[in-house]
Amino acid sequence: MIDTILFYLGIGLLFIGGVMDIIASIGFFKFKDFYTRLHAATVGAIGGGFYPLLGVALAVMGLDVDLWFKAVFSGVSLITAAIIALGVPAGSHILARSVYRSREVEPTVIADRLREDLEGGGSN
Amino acid sequence: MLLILSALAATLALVSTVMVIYEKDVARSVVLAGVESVFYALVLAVFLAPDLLIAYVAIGLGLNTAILLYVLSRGERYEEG
Amino acid sequence: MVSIETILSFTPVLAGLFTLAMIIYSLRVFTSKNLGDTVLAIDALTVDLIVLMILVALYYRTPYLLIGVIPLASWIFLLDLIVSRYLEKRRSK
Repeated sequence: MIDTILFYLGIGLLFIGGVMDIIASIGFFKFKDFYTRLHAATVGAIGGGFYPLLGVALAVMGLDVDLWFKAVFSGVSLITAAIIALGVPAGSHILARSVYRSREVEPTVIADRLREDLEGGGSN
Repeated sequence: MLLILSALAATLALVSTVMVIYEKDVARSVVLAGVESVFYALVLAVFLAPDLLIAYVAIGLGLNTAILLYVLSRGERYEEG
Repeated sequence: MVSIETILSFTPVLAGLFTLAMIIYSLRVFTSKNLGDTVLAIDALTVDLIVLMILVALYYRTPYLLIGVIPLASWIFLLDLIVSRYLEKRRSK
């Protein structure tokens, strides 16, 4: 009984992840600025990568296979999910910081106080 | 089903290789060369070759991008058309 | 216990969803204008390909294809670090 519940919960998480991945990929075209496209990147990483990997780890646990097969699939999926959940937000943060400071893309705002502080303060 | 998937991935890798040649921004072309290796990793996973897959991931992605961007930080970014 | 043939009826639909997302992400990669947009789209594309590779390994029922998944997930963070270090070094020159 508990195996069937685990299996269909994992398949449901995989379907939710696929739909959120398509939504995030359309959002990359809808947003007009680099700094607003960071939202779509977060949806694509957490919704499209973290939830389906948890779903694979849950669905394999309910299958009728050997123990080592379950252990390998679930372990690799959980470790990869942990790396994605820790690495991708930190990576996009450091990317946005360096893009702002090197003037690769200028933000479309009315007043930019951070730029004034960086320019006025001499060496940053 | 898996043959259609590998055909799509190989076609996108070909498009990526053509875009590396016609790109004026050298930093973007180094990053696009990494995309080509990612698609080849998926094709090799479909064709049941894990040893070639781990070699592609280690050399084509990590070493290639790191060394080429380190060299490019001492030089000119845009090439003259 | 759920038989292993049950998951083979779900795998083509799931692979179709993630393949459609892969095509739209790669169009975004090829048509972006500057370096930041390209790297941001490559992050999402690589996360998508990791899930697709695990589905392929589940379809073949062999765990040996999972050897390239963890290095590929580490490469996302490594690419962000390398590109941001390159941009910061160009600014200070």
